[in-house]
Amino acid sequence: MTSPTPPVPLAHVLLHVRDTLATDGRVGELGLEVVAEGDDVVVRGVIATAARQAEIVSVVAEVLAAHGWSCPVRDLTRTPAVASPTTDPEQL
Amino acid sequence: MRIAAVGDIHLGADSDSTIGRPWAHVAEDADVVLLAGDLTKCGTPAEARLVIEHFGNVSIPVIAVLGNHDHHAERDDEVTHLLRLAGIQVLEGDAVEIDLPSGRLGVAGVKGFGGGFAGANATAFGEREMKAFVHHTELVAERLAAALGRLTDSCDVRVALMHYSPTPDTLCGERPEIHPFLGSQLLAEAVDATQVDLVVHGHAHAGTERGATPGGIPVRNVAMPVIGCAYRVFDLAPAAGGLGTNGRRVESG
Ligand SMILES: [Fe+2]
Ligand SMILES: [Fe+2]
Repeated sequence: MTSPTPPVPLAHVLLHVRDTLATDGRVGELGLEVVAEGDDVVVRGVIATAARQAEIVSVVAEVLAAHGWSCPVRDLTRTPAVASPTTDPEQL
Repeated sequence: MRIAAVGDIHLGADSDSTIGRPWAHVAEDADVVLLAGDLTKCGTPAEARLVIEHFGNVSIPVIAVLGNHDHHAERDDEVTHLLRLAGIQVLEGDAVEIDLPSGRLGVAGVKGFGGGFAGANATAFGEREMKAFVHHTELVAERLAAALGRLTDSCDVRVALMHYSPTPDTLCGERPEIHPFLGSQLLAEAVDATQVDLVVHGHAHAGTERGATPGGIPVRNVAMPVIGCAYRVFDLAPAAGGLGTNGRRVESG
């Protein structure tokens, strides 16, 4: 009789999630924070475009699944404002 | 002298088509544009062409350094070449001086690198991989120092342009664990050894806008997520007699 392979600890998987968010071309963002909060995996930070932001949950879920994990993913990232500056020049 | 600056625009095929509207009018606000790296998502020539679409036709000089994202595809030479062909001056251990309506601007630029800051800086000790990491930072800082040293006394204003931060001040808001990957104090040491009026950098998306080197030179983090708009404008008034605005310049002759 063989026992099932124990799952990789989630803390290890989160390392790979963060790496993948940087290197997977769908997201391509190095600076995101990925943490476990309760039963959820939460992603925070700033991502340049809404299109990249829209891919975060599925990319994270793929990496989790590849390591035997299935848990809710919450995307708390934001995209930067791109409007013209509204403040006067800084005098230096 | 009005200097517009922004970094970390991370342009890619999926970028919002409206993102460039404010940049098209930057000449109304400034005499020159500085781009503080991470111009592209992954550093491909196709993404470089998007940068050119937005900045190649700006009617004022555009001076840039590359960031780590611009190196990811390992085609940074092509990216640099394309940008330069379009009239964007790309600096990597280089210096440029340009005459603007309000005076002569000198810019020394370098990408920079990590390594950390006093009390928690990486040291070239032990494994050769660790030494390579630190030696790259040292090399980059030496390039910056050399570029700053090439700026002539005729400059009215001097700016050091980089992607990585020279100070932990502007990293405030980033997790301290990653500070060694966000900048190096060796960059500040190079700046403080010369006469510089302003340091501009990006890279720290969750950082803080304003800081200073240990020598007191103003440092501004212009990463777009930090400034929350398309660019920031700095107004540096050249002082009479060619003295820098910080009053630290030593007149030659
Ligand atoms: Fe960036
Ligand atoms: Fe960066």
